[in-house]
Amino acid sequence: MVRVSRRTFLKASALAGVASSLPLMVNFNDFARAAQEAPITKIPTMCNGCSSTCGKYVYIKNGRVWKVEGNPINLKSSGKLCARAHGMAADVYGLGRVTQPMKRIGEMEFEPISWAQAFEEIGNKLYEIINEHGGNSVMWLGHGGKEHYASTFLDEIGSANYVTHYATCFSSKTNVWDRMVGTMLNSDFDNANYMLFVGRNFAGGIIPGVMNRITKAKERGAKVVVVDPRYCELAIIADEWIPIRPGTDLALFLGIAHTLISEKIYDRSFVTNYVYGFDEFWSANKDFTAEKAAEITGIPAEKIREIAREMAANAPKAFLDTGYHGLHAHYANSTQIAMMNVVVNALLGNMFQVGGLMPSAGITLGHVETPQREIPEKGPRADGAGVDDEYPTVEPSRGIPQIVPDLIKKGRIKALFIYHYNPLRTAPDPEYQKGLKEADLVVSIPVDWNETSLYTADYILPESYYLERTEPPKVISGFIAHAYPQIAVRRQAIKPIHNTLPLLDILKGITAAAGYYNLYPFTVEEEIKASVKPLNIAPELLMETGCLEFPASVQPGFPMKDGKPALNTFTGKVEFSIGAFKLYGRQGVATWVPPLVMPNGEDEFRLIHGKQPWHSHHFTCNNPYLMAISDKYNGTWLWMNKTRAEKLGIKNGDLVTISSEKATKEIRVKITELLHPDCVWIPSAYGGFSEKLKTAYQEGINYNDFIPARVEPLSGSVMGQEVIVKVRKGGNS
Amino acid sequence: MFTKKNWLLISLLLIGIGAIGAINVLLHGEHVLGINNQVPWGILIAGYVFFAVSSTGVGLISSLGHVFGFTRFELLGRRALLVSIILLLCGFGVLGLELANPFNLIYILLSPNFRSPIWWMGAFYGLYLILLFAEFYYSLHNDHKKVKPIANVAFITKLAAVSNLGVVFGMLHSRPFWQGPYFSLYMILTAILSGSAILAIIFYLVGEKGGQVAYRGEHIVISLGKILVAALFITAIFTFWKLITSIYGGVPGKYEAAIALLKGPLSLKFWLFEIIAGLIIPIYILFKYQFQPAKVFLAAILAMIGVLFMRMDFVFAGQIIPLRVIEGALSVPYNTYVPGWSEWALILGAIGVTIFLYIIGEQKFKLDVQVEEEYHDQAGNLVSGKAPLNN
Amino acid sequence: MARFAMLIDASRCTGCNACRIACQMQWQLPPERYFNRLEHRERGIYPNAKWEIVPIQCMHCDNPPCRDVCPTGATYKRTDGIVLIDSKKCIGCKYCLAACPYGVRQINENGVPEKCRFCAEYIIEGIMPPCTSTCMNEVRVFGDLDDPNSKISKLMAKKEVYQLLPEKGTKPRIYYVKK
Ligand SMILES: Nc1nc2c(c(=O)[nH]1)N[C@H]1C(S)=C(S)[C@@H](COP(=O)(O)OP(=O)(O)OC[C@H]3O[C@@H](n4cnc5c(=O)[nH]c(N)nc54)[C@H](O)[C@@H]3O)O[C@H]1N2
Ligand SMILES: Nc1nc2c(c(=O)[nH]1)N[C@H]1C(S)=C(S)[C@@H](COP(=O)(O)OP(=O)(O)OC[C@H]3O[C@@H](n4cnc5c(=O)[nH]c(N)nc54)[C@H](O)[C@@H]3O)O[C@H]1N2
Ligand code: SF4
Ligand code: SF4
Ligand code: SF4
Ligand code: SF4
Ligand code: SF4
Ligand SMILES: [Mo]
Repeated sequence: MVRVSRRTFLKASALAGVASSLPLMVNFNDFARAAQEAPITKIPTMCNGCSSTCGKYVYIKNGRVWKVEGNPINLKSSGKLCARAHGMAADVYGLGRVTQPMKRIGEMEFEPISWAQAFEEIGNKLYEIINEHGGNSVMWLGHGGKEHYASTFLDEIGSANYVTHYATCFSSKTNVWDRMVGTMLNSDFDNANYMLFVGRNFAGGIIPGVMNRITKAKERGAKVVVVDPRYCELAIIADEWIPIRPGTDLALFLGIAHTLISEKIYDRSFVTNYVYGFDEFWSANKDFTAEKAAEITGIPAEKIREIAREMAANAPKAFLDTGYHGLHAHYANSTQIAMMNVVVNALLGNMFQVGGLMPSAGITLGHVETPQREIPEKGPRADGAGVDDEYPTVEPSRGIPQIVPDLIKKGRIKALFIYHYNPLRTAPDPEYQKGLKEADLVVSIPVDWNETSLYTADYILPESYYLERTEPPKVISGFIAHAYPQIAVRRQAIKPIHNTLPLLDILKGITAAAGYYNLYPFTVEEEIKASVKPLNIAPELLMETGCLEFPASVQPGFPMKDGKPALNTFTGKVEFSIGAFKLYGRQGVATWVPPLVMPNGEDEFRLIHGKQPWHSHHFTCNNPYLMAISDKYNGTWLWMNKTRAEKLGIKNGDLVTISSEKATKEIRVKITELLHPDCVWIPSAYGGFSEKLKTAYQEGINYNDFIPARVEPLSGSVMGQEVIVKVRKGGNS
Repeated sequence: MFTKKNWLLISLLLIGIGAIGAINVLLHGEHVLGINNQVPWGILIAGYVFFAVSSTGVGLISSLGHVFGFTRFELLGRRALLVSIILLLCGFGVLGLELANPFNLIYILLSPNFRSPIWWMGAFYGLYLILLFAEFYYSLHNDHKKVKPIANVAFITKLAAVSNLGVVFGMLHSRPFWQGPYFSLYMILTAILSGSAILAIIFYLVGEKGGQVAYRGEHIVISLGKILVAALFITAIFTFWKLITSIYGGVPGKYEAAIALLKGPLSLKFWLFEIIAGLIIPIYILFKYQFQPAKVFLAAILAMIGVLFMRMDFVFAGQIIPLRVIEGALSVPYNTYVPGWSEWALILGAIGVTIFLYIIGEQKFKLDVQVEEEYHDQAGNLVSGKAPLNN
Repeated sequence: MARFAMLIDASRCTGCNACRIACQMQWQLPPERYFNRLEHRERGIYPNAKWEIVPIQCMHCDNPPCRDVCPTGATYKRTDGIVLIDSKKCIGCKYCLAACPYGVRQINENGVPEKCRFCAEYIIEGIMPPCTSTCMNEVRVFGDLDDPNSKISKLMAKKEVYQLLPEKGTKPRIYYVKK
């Protein structure tokens, strides 16, 4: 039985007082006069501006969402919120929302229908498809981690085809860490003395609470080094920015590892006790010196050695941050990059050490007991993830979303559910992705008129906005080391303003209509009760605070069992060599793999991208507040190195034409000294093409336009930066 | 060509255009104006300056008669007062439409801020308008005993008003191009320029219609032309030195503004309208044709077009350079301001109203004044007294 | 009497714009109107280049030209130092916009200028202005300089600070931390 810690309890109860409906009085000029009479309620919930799902409070005034504020306990927010959190709260009133179920009646035409009709028609069609083609012809394609209901349904019909977005995000990391470390470790920002960020921009790919810790660490004197072809936002607060030739980070990591090993400054006892496959690794990379790394990366050998030495000197309170999207879905060698991240950190002996890499404390939630059902055997995965002669080493739990149109063409998939996901904008090659519509039944469950829904869906079933729905609690974890487990809950802040439903109700409706009765025999309230039951806390406490912290459950020290290393790997140790890779004829250890493509000519650049602090992936582009920021700061512009631009006669603000084999587009250019000459950089948010999303429509360009839908064979990622573009001055016409 | 009917038609057309603009502004408010946070003052402010300074200028020229006793200029008397009133009313009209809440003007009285140059501007021009009305009234009633002291006070008020208008801009430390006392002097000078030009235009036309425009046989427009050419010259010199001093030493804000005029976004307006059409050609015409009234008329029209653009250049140049809060910060080279069509319409409308009201004034009031002079009577003898009209 | 002020450590700002939009929500401003902005500056030559961002908002000057030029006293300074605009008295002459050397005033849909209000009512209740509280890098510290125990007073005593455009004589109430 877990008890709420004293420290937490104090925090929680203090907040509970505020959290219930405290009437705040403001008395300011014109605005506030009206406000004076309006009681203000403050409701805790979780943000849905991106995958970080930070805790936040929503202030409701006159029945309308007024503003939001970070939950101070929730470690993802730590009382702070990013711009998107504010913007997406306001967007509950946005013009881009789908306001009721829609049925396609023409090329771009939809007719509003009732929920009853939608369930009926979709249920019937689904019934036919399952009858004719089997349950395995049904696919659920969604943003991973955003829901937990679909698998019940897939299990029921015997479909193996649960596919997530991860291959577009960071699948090489999830794949590798699971195999090499058996878990995902996270940076201990609070205690580290040296932090190296390579392709990870916490100030752009934001988790506010984490960025806050980095700033605080900096304040107490920790050193921050950023390796990025672009002077990213994190570099602003860093001690050092080291630009690297894009696509060559693997060489940098190999060079660092070589220095650590050859100079014997690595943690030998850690390696001896807790590492498997060190010799195999070293014998394959003995010749990969810092000099060799320098040649490939463009970073001086001395600098590479300096990084290695400084890290070793600070170890174990030093880490190479384990990264996120940057690097982990970008290159043909992304899997090896992820492997080397494990290697470098292990050589520093920082794993399970204070100030190094630590686990994210977890806690087990309960769930509603449901009657046992008979579950049919599942067919093979349509995308080939984990399938022997297709993509055997790709994690089946995540899948390969970018090739779904092919699977439909091949006849493997007949019915497609797309949940909280917009592959036409966030997966490679939108023209190709439009092929999703060829499935016999396409149902999209979004909140807005995203491109995928508009172009491919037969039915659009709008989910209630995240501020309009209550969801069962989640354990907070990921990207930050913390000893205290936390759980957080999403709570309805306002009643749905349109004719929308939460996912649970949508699934209840569809499955029942397809003949699967009572698949979800519970309500959200019952789920919440069941979740917190083993924690011995009142659900009301959680609902009132939005987030609870429990006593520390993580201790430093390598996990041991019976005196032996007990990681969740074959050997219980950190494995430098991945058996599964060898099994399928690949190298077990990471060695140098060159990127697929390299820029050559005077007008050729690698097209790289990154998050902009005020946009999420793509879908915030329809938010007028966030787009006003883009407008003010020329946020859609392509970055180009000044020297390269001068050679092409391109000046700041010029229109240029940028083309790859896949696309030719026009965009304005920001000329800068803050970018590696080999590449051009675009903020990854833009390029909306849904006519129904007026604010986003045709603003800026999107890297996915320029890349084909490919699969990195080991981890399944999209290799989103393996593309060379030609840039010339002037528009197309 | 310059028949009364044609003038009426022109003025009504302009008033029509202006009315549409005014309705648009009144209906849709601020955002039909091209102004923005970087350039808060647009052509309506320039228009206001144009009219207000012209009004004072006309007044200053006529003071040569009333106040300084140059008999010849007494000829200008009532007409000058009438034009001055009309111009000032039009200036206020344009300003009123530019203001978001003209009704709140009451707070100028209820809660005055004596530190504000605009407050003083309101005070001086308000007083000036009252004095103008009084002077015009007594002048129509030939009450010279009253006209004289009023004219004296009015003269001081005029000077205060027009130089204070320069101070409104000169007081802004945030806008280096305007800052300093230069524009106070410049306002007085260019007031004389536009005053003489406007009077020249009017008196040429009056003369064409047979009104009394001659003093001792010499057309008053010739004298006005001479004042005009002097004003044009000095303005040219002023402009020259202003630009040189702004460029020399590269004072931040001033330098860039001067460059904006010389070869930046304002250069077309500056060179073509302000300098060539507004200064060089008029000077050329005036000298070439030895102040022939018809040519003075032409030169004066060009000069007034020049003055209109001069006001715009002046108002934009002060705001076109982005504020430099952080040295070296990325910014656009120039702030942009594109006047809305309603703003242009209002300027044209105000010009229309000026013409229209003046025509009405000519009809309603007896504006010809007789000046004591020596003249040849019908018999050919030189006599002293008031010349009969229509000679 | 309180003496409200703000201390900004621009070297911590990473340009996320959360401050801008948090304030917009607080005051329910339309998307294109904002009370705080960022000035961006690039220095140096690749690869020895730098990117600096400085947040800017109304400085609540102790000698505010915007107040001095305002003909009706619509712009006024309170005894606690906060410079506000009484829209009732404003004639919309925009003189204050021309006069503010920091360019922080914005014309609203009624033609009346607006700007940062310093959210003082909130700090009296112990709540930080949203621009301050939302910031993940804790760039801003807002507080009362007359309270020696306030965070801002303590920091001001420790850090070297500067003001923007001191040569304009405006005496800003926003201080910046020297690097
Ligand atoms: N162009 C571009 N592509 C990218 C990225 C990028 O930055 N730019 N990033 C990559 C990465 S790291 C990731 S993680 C993926 C993310 O890929 P996606 O998840 O596709 O990206 P989003 O744009 O966040 O959201 C997709 C859709 O979710 C829907 N949605 C939003 N809120 C809700 C909700 O509450 N309920 C439901 N049912 N739907 C909702 C919206 O309709 C939106 O169109 O994209 C990858 N691809
Ligand atoms: N503002 C914002 N924050 C977000 C999100 C969002 O959409 N918007 N999404 C969340 C999600 S789902 C994710 S996955 C994370 C992503 O967070 P990050 O992984 O930090 O995000 P990115 O900006 O994609 O990539 C980080 C950096 O990699 C750099 N980079 C590109 N190519 C190379 C290279 O070859 N070598 C090196 N060394 N660097 C390179 C880019 O310039 C960029 O600055 O952000 C999370 N937070
Ligand atoms: S990082 Fe920002 S957008 Fe993402 S969940 Fe947290 S507050 Fe919301
Ligand atoms: S919230 Fe903080 S870090 Fe973000 S832009 Fe504002 S001041 Fe800078
Ligand atoms: S910053 Fe500008 S608006 Fe604010 S008080 Fe100073 S002068 Fe006035
Ligand atoms: S616009 Fe309003 S606040 Fe500004 S100076 Fe004029 S009257 Fe004062
Ligand atoms: S202090 Fe208040 S009004 Fe001023 S910028 Fe911050 S949030 Fe906005
Ligand atoms: Mo992601």
